[in-house]
Amino acid sequence: MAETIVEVKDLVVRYGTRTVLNGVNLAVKKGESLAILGKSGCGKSTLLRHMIGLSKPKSGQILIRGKDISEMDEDEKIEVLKKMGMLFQSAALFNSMTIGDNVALPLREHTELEESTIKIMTNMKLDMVGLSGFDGFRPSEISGGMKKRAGLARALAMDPEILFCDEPSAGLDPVVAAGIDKLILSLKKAFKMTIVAVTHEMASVKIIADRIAMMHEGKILAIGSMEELRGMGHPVIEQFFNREPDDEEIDRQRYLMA
Amino acid sequence: MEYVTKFFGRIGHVTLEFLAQVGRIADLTWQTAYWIAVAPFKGKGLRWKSTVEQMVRIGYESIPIVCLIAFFVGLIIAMQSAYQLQQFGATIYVADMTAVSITRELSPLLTAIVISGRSGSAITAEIGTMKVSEEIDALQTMGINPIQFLVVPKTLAMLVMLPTLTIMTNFVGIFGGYLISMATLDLTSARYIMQTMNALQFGDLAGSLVKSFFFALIISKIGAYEGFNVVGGAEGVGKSTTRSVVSSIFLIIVADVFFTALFFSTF
Repeated sequence: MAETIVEVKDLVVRYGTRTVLNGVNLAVKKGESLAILGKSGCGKSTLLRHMIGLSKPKSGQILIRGKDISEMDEDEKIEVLKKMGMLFQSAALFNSMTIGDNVALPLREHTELEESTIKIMTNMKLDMVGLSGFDGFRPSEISGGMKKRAGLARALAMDPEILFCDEPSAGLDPVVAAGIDKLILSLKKAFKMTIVAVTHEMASVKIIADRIAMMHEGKILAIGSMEELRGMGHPVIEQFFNREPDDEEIDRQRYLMA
Repeated sequence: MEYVTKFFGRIGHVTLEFLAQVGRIADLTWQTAYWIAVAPFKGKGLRWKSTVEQMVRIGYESIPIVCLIAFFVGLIIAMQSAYQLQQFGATIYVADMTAVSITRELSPLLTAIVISGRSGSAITAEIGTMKVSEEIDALQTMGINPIQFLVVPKTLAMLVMLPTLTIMTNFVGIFGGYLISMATLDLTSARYIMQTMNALQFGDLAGSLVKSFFFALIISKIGAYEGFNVVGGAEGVGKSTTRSVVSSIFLIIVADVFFTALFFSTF
């Protein structure tokens, strides 16, 4: 059985009086690709922020290879983060730098490599995502899909064991979105990476995911393959998979039509 | 009774929020000091290239505007002093008046206010925009400390360049006073210069530099703090930038009162 690489234990997150995550438990196995699925506002991105150590849990634990990320000292955390890559929804490229410098940044910060070696590695990563020749461009000079690819190249710069993706194909046209999803899948196969992707796009899930964690109202409702989840017959899962609107939404539409 | 409870509740809330903000700024200052003074001894070097770039932006590119302002202030002080002193036939003291007021007060204060508006706002806008576009999060996920990466170079550059600009504006301001005196008063150049040198003491220049060092700390810390605390999108960046400039100028003047009382009070 594959080793558990990331484990979320009893995670509770509250913003004021609003409970965003209410006792989430989740284990990510090495080499798998897990899609965290759910409606907007169900706590997917909050869960991801905690898994990558951007937010500190007030209650519960995030274990990376069995060690609580919030109890690590600065150096330990850096070592863990070096083995993680993160593709942000907006790509989050540094606008003051070129695409090449964006990809090279983690290598410059965390390695003692010569500048010439860093340049070769940067070009390799850009080539991997289909952006060779774009290293001198600024983020403002390329399209949304290219920004996502550049963000992915930067996430891959340190050859991470785990790749976290926040809405990898959101805001892109179906063709470009499918391209990004297939690229993530091919990278996973080529480098045997573990992938955790937060999304609400069923098309992405079908391409990327081995398993799906379905979230609803701050909790994990079910975990399993797409077939397993479909077989459960749970109304929330059915509604999501069949793209059916909420009752409130139907009422609102009736009101608007009247 | 309800109004009284609400009134004191509001005061309590505002006080707690103010204290929390002071705590967060102190924490930011402490972390910056760690990355400047302690971390280099643990093998985590300073970002010199970025620091020099910031020195150019904060210092070199500000030279024309701060010098122009200092020059005009020198002219104004000399003209105002001459207007009063000529009634007593004491126009020679225009040199003392200009040199002392420029060095002790106007040069560090006005330079800090200009730099606060020019560079403090730029620090907030840059960090704030990076926060809004998830660039700060991206740094953290790469294991790069945003304070080390963004705040330390700006703080170091500010700590070096603001006192440097203050020295420069001291000279330019005094030169402005000298020019107007030569043009309008019956004074010789040698006498004016001698009078200026006699009026100034080492403590005046030292006080000026101490003030500008702390003003630099205020501008860089408030600028960075407001940048990290941007909430919302472009509107949030705008609000934080305004708050950064207003708070910096207010704190600079408060600090100036403190240092003037410390160095030059008669009580």
